[in-house]
Amino acid sequence: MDYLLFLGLLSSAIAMRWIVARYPYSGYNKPPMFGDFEAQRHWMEVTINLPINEWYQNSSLNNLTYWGLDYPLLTAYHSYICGWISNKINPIWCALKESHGHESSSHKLFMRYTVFIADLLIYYPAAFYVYRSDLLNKNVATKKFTVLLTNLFYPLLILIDHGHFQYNSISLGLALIAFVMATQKNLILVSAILFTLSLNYKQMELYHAIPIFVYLLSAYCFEERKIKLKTFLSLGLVVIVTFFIIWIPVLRHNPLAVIKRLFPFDRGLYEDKVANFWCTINLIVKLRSKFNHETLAKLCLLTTSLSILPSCFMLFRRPTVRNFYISLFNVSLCFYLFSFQVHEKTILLPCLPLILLSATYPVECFAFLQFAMISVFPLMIKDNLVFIFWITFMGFSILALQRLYIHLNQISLIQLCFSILCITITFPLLIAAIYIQPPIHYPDLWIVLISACSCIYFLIILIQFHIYQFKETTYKPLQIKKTN
Amino acid sequence: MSIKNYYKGIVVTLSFTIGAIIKLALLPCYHSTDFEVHRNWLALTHSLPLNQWYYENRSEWTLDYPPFFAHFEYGLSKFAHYFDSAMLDINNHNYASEKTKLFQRLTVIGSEIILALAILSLLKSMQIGRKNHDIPMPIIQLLFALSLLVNFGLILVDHIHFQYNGFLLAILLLSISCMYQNQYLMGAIWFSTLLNLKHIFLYIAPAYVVYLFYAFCIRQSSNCKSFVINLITLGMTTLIPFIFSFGPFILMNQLPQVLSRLFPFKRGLCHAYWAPNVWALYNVLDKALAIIGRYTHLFQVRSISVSMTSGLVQDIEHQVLPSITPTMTFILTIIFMIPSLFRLFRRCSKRTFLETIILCALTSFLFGWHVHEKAILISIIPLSLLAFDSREHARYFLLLSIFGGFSLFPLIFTGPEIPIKIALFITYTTFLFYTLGEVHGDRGSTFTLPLLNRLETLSVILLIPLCLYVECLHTVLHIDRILPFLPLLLISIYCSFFIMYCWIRLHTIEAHQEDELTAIESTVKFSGRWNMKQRKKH
Repeated sequence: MDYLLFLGLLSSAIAMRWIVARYPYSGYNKPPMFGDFEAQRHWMEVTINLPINEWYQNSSLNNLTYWGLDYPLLTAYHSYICGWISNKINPIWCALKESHGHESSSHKLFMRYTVFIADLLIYYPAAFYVYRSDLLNKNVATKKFTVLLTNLFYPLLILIDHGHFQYNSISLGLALIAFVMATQKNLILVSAILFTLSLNYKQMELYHAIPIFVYLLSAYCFEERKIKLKTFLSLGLVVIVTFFIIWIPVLRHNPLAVIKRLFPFDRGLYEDKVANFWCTINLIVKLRSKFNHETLAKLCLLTTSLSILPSCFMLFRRPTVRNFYISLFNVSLCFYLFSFQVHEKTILLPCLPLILLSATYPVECFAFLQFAMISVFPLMIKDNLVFIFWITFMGFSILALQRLYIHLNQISLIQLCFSILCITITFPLLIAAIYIQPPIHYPDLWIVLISACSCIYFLIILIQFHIYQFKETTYKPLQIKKTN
Repeated sequence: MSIKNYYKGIVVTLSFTIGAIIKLALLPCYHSTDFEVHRNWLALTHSLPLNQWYYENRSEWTLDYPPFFAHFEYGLSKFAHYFDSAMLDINNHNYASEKTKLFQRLTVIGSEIILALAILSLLKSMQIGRKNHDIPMPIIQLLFALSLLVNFGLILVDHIHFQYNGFLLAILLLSISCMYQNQYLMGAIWFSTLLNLKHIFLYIAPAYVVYLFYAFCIRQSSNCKSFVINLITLGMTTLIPFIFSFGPFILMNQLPQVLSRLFPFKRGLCHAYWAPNVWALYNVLDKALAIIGRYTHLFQVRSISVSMTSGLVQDIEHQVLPSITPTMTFILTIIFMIPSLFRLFRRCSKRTFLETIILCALTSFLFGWHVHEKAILISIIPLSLLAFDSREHARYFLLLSIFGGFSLFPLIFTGPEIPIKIALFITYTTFLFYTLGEVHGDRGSTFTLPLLNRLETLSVILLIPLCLYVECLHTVLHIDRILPFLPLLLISIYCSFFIMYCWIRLHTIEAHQEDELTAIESTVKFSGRWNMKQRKKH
């Protein structure tokens, strides 16, 4: 009987993704640059037509200013595989130089299928693996189920992967399995491998790297203040070997060029309008005119590292599973808020560990997940996805309310009211952003306000989760003394 | 009582909201020519006076629904210009702007409010779902409401393909609900209104005629005089909607023209996509015999050159077996309806009435002339009222929704919608299996799905390779160049077997239950007599 339930959930998740896939993608019909869809298509074009040493280098055949490859090598390999298949189906789709801005319904369908298959191979197995062996909610069926539902139906991931068009589900799915495996003593090496793969698919996974490193170090490599060298070295070795295998093809040529492409410091403090600290402070102080580029970069580095310190320290002191997940969330949110060159889509990274916590802190998590959706609303306007955004938002709200009802005994009413209030306050802004023309002097007024609201909410939640982590760290379970 | 109805309202609102969210999300999907048909009718009713509605033929999609539906379209056209007035231009063929699409899709979703109301009234008037101690009643009612409002067949036909079946079936449900509350005249009015909206519901008219005649005219009258009065009252009430709808056309002397539009018997035995009924099997048998005959010369093969499934609506000439005429299908349908009607006459209960509606719809579906595959919904939807109540009905409801739903697959054939269609089908089917299994306390085993036996399970499982072939392998292996209509053929043959199976079994469970009931009654009577005897002895 259970298999029927899971089959139903899986097929409804697939249905939801395909329905979203029916909507337009980013940059549809917007020459000359188009959007992320074109970027992914362009990478297929570049990888199948050029030798591997030219993938990351500017040349007459590879114009890096036109969507040059700026993700790590696994993305490139994935593009190569997809490109190979697309070349077999229709060579026009990936013809070098000639296919720039190619748009056809059959090609769109092909691209949608590639995301669907990536989901099918990595994200769904990850979600069901979490359901089966996540230690945090292991013994409570309703909690496990909440996490599974949130994993399968969180609309932001679906909107960005299947609507806007990206392959986040691969790196996030791998990271998800890595998180859960890291908490199981016999699987930490696999976890390290999977996380390295994830990191090599998208460099953004660095946001999660520090907590996972601290956790592995503190939970497995120290025993009574002595370092367990064997575990430590084997972990290190596994990571290095995995890295090495992935990077072999470029090591012979010019690995520095790749790294330069991955971390483009010359791009600026933030792109578009992001709901992070810098973009919000920019409303008051025009940072970019006051400081030059390098000072800003240093400032970012300093604030980010300062902000992640407390969370990492607490995790190191007491490496429990819950502490690990909270720390993953805290650190990635700090990165999102304070680091340099942040995209609005990066909000998915804090959301990922939060999904694992969605049964532990239901109100905060669902509210944050909703707010994360609100924070990418400007992107949805740009991509023409507003309609499906609202529909999925409402659907997810119904799901969230149902799950909150299930976990009613864990909920504080004040928190719930606060969260609902915060979400409803932004609604007029969202509606204004679509229908009301902003004043001429402030063309981005609504978008900036939405970002600022989200940012303030994120900051509040960040503090709240630091408090939770502090409680978790100082929490001492009642020890029953054995009398013998 | 008020609190009870209050929660029923919440249940229906919630399921309507969930349904509306899913249906709204399907807004940009593919739509069939029926979209243009209805847009043309909007334009036609908006811009022409009443006396030209059934004469207009600028578009090939002439008005072939009864007048009430035309009035419904006229009502909708009053709102259309708020969206896009260009859709109301009668010469603007194949017009489908974003706004037009939005408006038309919204009218379908909006008209399903009637469906929600019908469900609410059903929940109030009849017992949905048996008392199950594991699942609370509101949950069962929510699942029932969802099974109708997120029905796969309705979503596929109404919200992707584009039609207004949800709204029409809602009126049927309203009428059934009135019958359950013993408001026979109200039920009759609703039903004749329904006939004036879409005449396909003539399929189930025999059940109504027999039931109303018995329950209202015979049972409720004490003597001959009151019988005649009741009969006349019933006849007059039934006629009222007809007078309103056809009256103006009779006054304008247009009735023959209207009727010729409504009953185009010039169309062929089967619709373009073969509906999974007896005639699909008959056609295949004829083809097979023709091929055999051509090689062995055992019997004479008449030579014709028309492909039967060429997609155009046309007459089919059979090569070996005798050709079928409309009259023959009509007579056959009536003959096969008689057993169930006779039983209704003998045991005139509400439940038997509902069962007879289902059987009449199925019989007409199986033996009717030029049946659309969408007509299966007329029997599936009423059957869902019984599915949460009786285990055996649940079983055939499952089978019918699976095979009926699968036979709708060829309606949607565009690339982006194929995965949506398959995923929705699997979701809805597993939802039904899971909920009905829980409600009836049958969780299935390793080799069987809930409520089904092994053979039925196998037949459901075999749909997977069939689906794989039809949707994928057929084009990938380039068989479509040699045998372009093979998938349609396979689907309709395979599904028609199981729909006939359900049809036969639905007759038998009806009989079984009746036997059980009479057995119980007789034991009651017997024990009663025995008790009397005992008392007399004392």
